[in-house]
Amino acid sequence: MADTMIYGYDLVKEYPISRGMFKRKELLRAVGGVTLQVNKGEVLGLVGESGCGKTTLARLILGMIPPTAGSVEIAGQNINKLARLERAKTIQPIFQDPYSSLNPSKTIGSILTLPLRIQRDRESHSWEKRVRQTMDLVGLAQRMYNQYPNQLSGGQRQRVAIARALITRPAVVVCDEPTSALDVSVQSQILNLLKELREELNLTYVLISHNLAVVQHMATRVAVMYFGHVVEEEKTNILFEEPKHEYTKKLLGSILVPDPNKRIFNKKE
Amino acid sequence: MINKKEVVLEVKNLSIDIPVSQGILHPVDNINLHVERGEILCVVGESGCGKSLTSLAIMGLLPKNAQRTAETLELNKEDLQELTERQLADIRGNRMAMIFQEPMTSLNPSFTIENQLLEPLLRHKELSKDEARNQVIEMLELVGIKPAEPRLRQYPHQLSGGLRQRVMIAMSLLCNPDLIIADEPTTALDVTIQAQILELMMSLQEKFNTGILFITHDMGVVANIADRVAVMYAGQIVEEGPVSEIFDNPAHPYTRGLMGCIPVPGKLGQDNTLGTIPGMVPSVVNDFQSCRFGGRWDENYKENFEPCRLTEVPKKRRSFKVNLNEKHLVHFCCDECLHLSEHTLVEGSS
Repeated sequence: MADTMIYGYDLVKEYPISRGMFKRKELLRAVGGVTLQVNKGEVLGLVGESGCGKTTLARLILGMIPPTAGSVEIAGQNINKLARLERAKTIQPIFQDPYSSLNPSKTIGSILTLPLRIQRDRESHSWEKRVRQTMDLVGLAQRMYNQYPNQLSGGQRQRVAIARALITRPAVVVCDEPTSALDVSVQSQILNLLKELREELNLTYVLISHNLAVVQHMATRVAVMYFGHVVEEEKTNILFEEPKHEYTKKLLGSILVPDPNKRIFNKKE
Repeated sequence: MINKKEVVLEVKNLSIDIPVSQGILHPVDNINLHVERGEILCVVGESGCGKSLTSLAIMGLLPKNAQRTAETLELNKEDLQELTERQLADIRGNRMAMIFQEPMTSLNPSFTIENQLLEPLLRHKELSKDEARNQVIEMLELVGIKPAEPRLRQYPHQLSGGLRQRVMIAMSLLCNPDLIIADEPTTALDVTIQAQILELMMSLQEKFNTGILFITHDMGVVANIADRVAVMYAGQIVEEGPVSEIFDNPAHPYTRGLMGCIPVPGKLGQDNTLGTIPGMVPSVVNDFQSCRFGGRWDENYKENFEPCRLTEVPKKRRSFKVNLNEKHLVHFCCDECLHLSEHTLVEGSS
């Protein structure tokens, strides 16, 4: 039995929403009782439509928000009881939009040094070396050390975001739509990179995406979310071949395969 | 498809120049395209390749500093370049309409749905308000908003993304245009909604026999809806042809690279890596000298063949067009690329 990296037990997150000035606040259940387990080295794909709670679940796993009920354990430790610095060492996020997730007034070098500085890593003389090593790892040219985010292309910025997540060597990386802001040719570069890094550093991923082809390509297991619940969870190839839940079937039925012989619409003539 | 169909949109040698600090940028460089009645032409390409500017140039909505030149720009044989701004306004929304990517920003948040849908009818057709209102309700029901009546009083923010895009489609169809330009209309939507909207667009297009110029970067969408495909790269159309030809028999290295980048369910195993297109699109400023695709050949390709590395292409060695067959056209930026791609130029069987 492989080691359990992420264990989320009966996770619930509710948000109070205002119905009007003098009305009682209502509770919106963004995540309604999700139990999930991810083993070391696995890639769990989370799919579902917008508003189904994917991102809320990711933020719960990251410990960015406290759950209303339930608990998350990363490598056997409760994430909400860990100190922030400890938490940052075990789990890191990569966000969707590399244009807004990087500080525009800082150089790439200082963006990548910041995690080390926050971690109060003793050997400050080795920071630059480690930053440059990590830049190599994700395929960024060394000359970019002194450049600013606006001088970089979308794909390069996403590489910076990946480097920033990996520099403290976390065991788990949560990727929230890592490629949906990128072009297909850049998307394939980033997906290849994420795959390589996973093997090289023995990482565990939680991959959130609405692009089912990407999830099928990357994930070892897929959880389908619908209205705050995981309606189906299965190994990737089994889920895509024999979906059981009605919603999964509907979702898979709307994939547009890039092959004109496999159109899903009935065409005239 | 034996008899030639009526051509709705004819564009010949369209170029767009934008002055920037380094000189003059050519985001669109001598492109030719046409749309026939009742067909969907998909323009694909990555961000910055000039596909959105092309659509704006056709609509006459380019930013003020951009200069448009074209040999021909005709909607139903009528020259669009000759028209005054006022005459253009009579055509826009009436005989050609546009659907934008983000339905939240293209609908006015401070007017009701009814208000916004009545406007094109009252502006372009001589209808009384009641007649127009009935047409609006009819059209909303046609795009699947049932019952339509209560939606009329709502504001855009009260509708979901899919509903908003349906409203946009209804708006574009109201005056029964000859041509609809759809600029990434489903990119902001969920997959299930995307499938619904595309199906709707196809059924309505069949019903009204409209020509659609569909701009997208999603090859899955292209394969599912297109009749013909035009692939754009660095301001030029590098390959154009029927959808089956483009997917089964891509000839230009860029098209081939693009096809290799897409994760196709079932085609790749878990361990296989995706193809990539290294490098970046060059910015075509002033008299651009080097090969547009130079240095961007796929790694796998480089192992077997020598890629084009021309950095200075003399003028007479630029721009080569090859007709693979009557409908399938490939355009190379320099003779070196053409020469190196010759093995991909299989004469079409049909």
